[in-house]
This record gives sequence, C-alpha cells and structure tokens, in this order.
Amino acid sequence: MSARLLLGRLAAAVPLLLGISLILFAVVHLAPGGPLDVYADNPSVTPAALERLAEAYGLKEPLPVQYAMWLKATVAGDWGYSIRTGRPVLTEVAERLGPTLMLAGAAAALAFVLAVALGTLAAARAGRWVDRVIDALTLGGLSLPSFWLALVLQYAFAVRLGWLPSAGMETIGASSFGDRLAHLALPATVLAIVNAASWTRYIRAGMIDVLSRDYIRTAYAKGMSERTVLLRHGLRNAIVPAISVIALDLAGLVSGAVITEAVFAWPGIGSLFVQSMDGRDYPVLMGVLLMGSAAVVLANIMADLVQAVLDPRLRDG
Amino acid sequence: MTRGCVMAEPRASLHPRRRRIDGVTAGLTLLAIIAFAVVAGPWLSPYGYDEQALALLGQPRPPSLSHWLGTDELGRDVLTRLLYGGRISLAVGLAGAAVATGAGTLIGALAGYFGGWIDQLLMRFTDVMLSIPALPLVLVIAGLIRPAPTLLVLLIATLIWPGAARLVRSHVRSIRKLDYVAAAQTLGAGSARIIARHVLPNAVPAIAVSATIAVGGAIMLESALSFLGFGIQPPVPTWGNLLNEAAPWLVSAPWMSIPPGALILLSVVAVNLVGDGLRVRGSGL
Repeated sequence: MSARLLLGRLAAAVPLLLGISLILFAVVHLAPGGPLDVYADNPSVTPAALERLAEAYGLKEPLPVQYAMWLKATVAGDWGYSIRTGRPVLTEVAERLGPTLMLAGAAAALAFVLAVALGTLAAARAGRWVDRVIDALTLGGLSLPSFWLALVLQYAFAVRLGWLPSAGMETIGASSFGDRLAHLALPATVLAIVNAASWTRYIRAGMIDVLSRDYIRTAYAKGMSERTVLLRHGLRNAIVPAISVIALDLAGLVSGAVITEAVFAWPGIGSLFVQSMDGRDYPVLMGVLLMGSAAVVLANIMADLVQAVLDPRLRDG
Repeated sequence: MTRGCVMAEPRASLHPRRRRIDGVTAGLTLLAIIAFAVVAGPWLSPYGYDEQALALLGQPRPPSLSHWLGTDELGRDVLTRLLYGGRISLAVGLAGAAVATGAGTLIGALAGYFGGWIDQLLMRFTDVMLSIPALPLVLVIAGLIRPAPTLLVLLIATLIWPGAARLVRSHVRSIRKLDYVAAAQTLGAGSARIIARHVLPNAVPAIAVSATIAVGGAIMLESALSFLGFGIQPPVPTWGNLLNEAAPWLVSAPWMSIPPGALILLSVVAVNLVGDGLRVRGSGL
C-alpha cells in the first residue's frame, strides 16, 4: 500500500471538509435570531444576559471572523456544550457512538451477506425466474419506507408473536450476549434491508459484466465447477466496483439510523439526534451532522484504499 | 460441460430482459390509480378530513361499514384522511422532485458542457452536498425555520438535486463530444442555444431516469420528516404524519399503521418501476 496514494486522498478531502464546514456554519446562522435564539423564549434569561452571552461567544464579530473562530474550535475538538445537559458535545456524541456502530455493523454485515448471495445468484441465472424474483425483491426493498417497516416488524415479532423485544438495547438487570442479540435483531434487519436491496443490484450488475469476459469461459473450459468460477473468478472481480457504493452507504448507516433508532429506542447517535431535535439542542445537532459528514468523507477514502488492495491495477492511481 | 455451452452465448448482454408488461407501463398505471384515488377519494367521501364524529371520540375504532378503515382517537375517518393526505404527500414529492431535477439538469448541463473550472467548481459543490447526511440536515433546518409547505418543497429539492446533477453531467459530457455539437458550433450557434436545442433533448433519457429517482427520494424524505413530526403539521394529514399519529396505537389499533406505509411503498414502487423500465428501454443507462 503506497503511502503516496493515502496522502493524496487525504489532501483531496481537505477542501471537501472545508466546504461541508461552511454549509454547516451557514445552517447554524439560519436561525432567525442566530444561535442564541433558543434562549429567547426562556423567561429566566434577561436581555442583558443575552447581550453578555453574545459578547462572550463572539457573536458581535463579523461573520468571516466568527467562521474562523468556529472552525478553529471545531478542529481543536471544542464542539460546544449541550443545551439540554450542559455537557461537552463531543462527550455526548462519543458516548452514543458505540451502540450506533454496533447496530450499523450488524446491519452492514447482514446486508452484505444477503447482497452477495442474492446478487451472485441473480447474475448467474440472469433473465430466468430466480433473477426476476430477486429483481422484484430488490425493487420492494428500495421502495420500503424504513419507519413503516420498523413498525410492521415491531408489531409482528414483538407485539403479536412476542419472540423479540420491541425496543431498547438490553433488558435492565438481565443483560447478556443473547439478550443483546435479541434486541439487535429487529433494528438491524430494518437497517439492513434497504441497503441489501441496492447492494444486490450493484453486485448483480458487476457480476453480469464479469461473467461475459473471456477468462470466465477459460475457467469453465479448464473444467472448474460453477461454484468455483463464480466465487473465485467472478465475485472477486465484480465486488471491486461495488465497494465504493457500499462504503458510502456504510457511512450513511451511521446517520441513516436516525429513524430506526428512534422507533426502536436504540440508545445511539440517531436517538441522541431526535432527542436533541425536541429540545432544539443545536450544538449537539451540529455535532452529529459534523460527525456524519466526516464519516462520509472518511468512508470515501477507505473505499479507495480497499479497492487498491483488491485490485492491484488501481494501486498507482 | 453443458455449462461451457451456456456461457458461450452470454445471454444477459445479448438478450435484454423482456417483460410481458413493460415497467414503464406498469408503473405509470399504478401511479395513475393512486393519483385518481387521492384526487377523487376525498371528494367522494361523505366525511371531511378533519371532521370528528363525536360519538366515536376517545379511542380508535376498527374498520366498519360506515368507516371502511375505521376512525382515529379523535373520531376522524381514517380512509378520508389517508386519501386527503395522499394529495399532500404526492404533491410535495412531485414538486420537490421537479425543482430538484430542474436544478440538477441545469447544473449538470453547465458542468458537463463547459468542463474546466466551471465543472470543477460545480462538481466540488455537488460533492459537498452529497457528503452531508440528507435527513439529519433537513431535520435541523426544518426545526430551525418551521417551513411552510412551499419552503418544504424547496428544502427537499435542495437535498436531492446533487444526484440528478451527477447523472446529467456524465451524459452531457459524452454528448458534447458528438459531431452534431461540433457542427452546431461551426455554424456559430451560441453555447446556450447548443445546450438547450442540441444537448439536453438528447439527454432526456438520463434526465427522466434521474427524475424518477428524485420523485421516490422526495416522497420518502417528506414522509420521514412528517413521521418524525417536523414536516407538514397536523391537522393537515400526510402519509408521514398519519403514521406518526398511528404509531402510539400500534398495540391496540394496528390497522391504523398499515395503510399509510403501504401507500408510500406502492407509490415509490410505481415510480421505481418507471425508472427501471426507462433504464431497460434506454439500455445505455
């Protein structure tokens, strides 16, 4: 792995991150009264106090100066304090990262296995009925509103059948690995299905392209079994172009969990976000957005690196 | 070695999948049925969308002959609210997608046609917009400014155009290298005229596909926003906020949660069928 490639990608990410920070900064200042607007309805905060706060937070400086100050603090890890709890935003966000990564990781693994299996099968039987059924399934998966799927699964498996817990991350006082897994099952399935649908399509398209190549015919001519040809020669080549899409969606899983976490009361970033929406806790909201965007940029870099590992031709790119 | 014989004629590339009913037709038919139901339904219904039957107050009632999908806890007819809500959901979705596709086409065409620093600038901006998670961003903005429906449409469009811009750009880039564009330039046609008369008409398949993606995305985004309580505000119903109202009654009145989601699903399936069908027809996409 060449360090030059990594450095090049990191350097390209800097203007992207600056652009993101500009937009997010503009959003904070969208509030009609500026960032202090949240205190305007609060009777215990006097106009004089508001004035002092504005002075203290540098809100009287010109906007470019404010942006520079904000950027400097953000890079230094000072993301402000939660209005709701008074604790540092970075701490709040970091605390919730674990459960979200667990949920997103489980969903991604499930989606990946489903997508590879269904995508390969559909490509190997392109145009036949198996392919059509899988095509219909992916169409449905792509069109499913996740919050509705969450409600339906909750009703079926938690309310009606009683097989799985309906919400939360663990049973208080009776936490165990199996208990975690049971709580994880429904939200991870919801999160996995939409992604599995789109990844299946990418893998199918990649496989169909690969399967028409000469080296696949050669592999069959050598007398290899279909299984070996598909998995060893087909999938390894078909998966490379799908990686960049998958990596982007992975980053999206972290912030896309907003709705799923809210429905299942999963104590991750998404729940933190929805709680903060109710309290108009803007420092926390901006922190989550900042982290979500950084995750997307990072995932893009990771995707390039993984592609370079899988495909030696891309290494000097 | 029968397998080898099969592989000798790669079926996927030589024989495009043929369906008895093309996706475009099926999708448009389904959309037309849904559109007819939501336009005519509330008008045919004997109830108003916020009309309360005082005798049925207190808790949701199951479907009956007079109320086909039951009533909610305020004694309002669920079917009437569902169909009326469909008007709002579809209108916001279609309008948001129209604005997004228009903006995406314009930006994609400019970037793809001119290339160079214009392309760099516009595409870096597109990358930035694609990197910020759409739903959380739109939630924050919606929470800050409490948008009226028209503003909500613009907000949704702001988050959807980058996808359209990318797709249109890549097509415009390949079209601008074609001979007829060079011919138009030789004849002295201006850039604006070439883009409008020669480039965009030939990019229509790509624009149509990105429009279907945009409609699906806009319907989903609006309903997600309303589901979380930050979109269109009650008592005006949309499919999203109907689900929001039904969710607390999931255990005692599950029938209220099914129809709004099913209609969102059906509408987005219809739009995606059209998109997939267009892709198969154009087969270059």
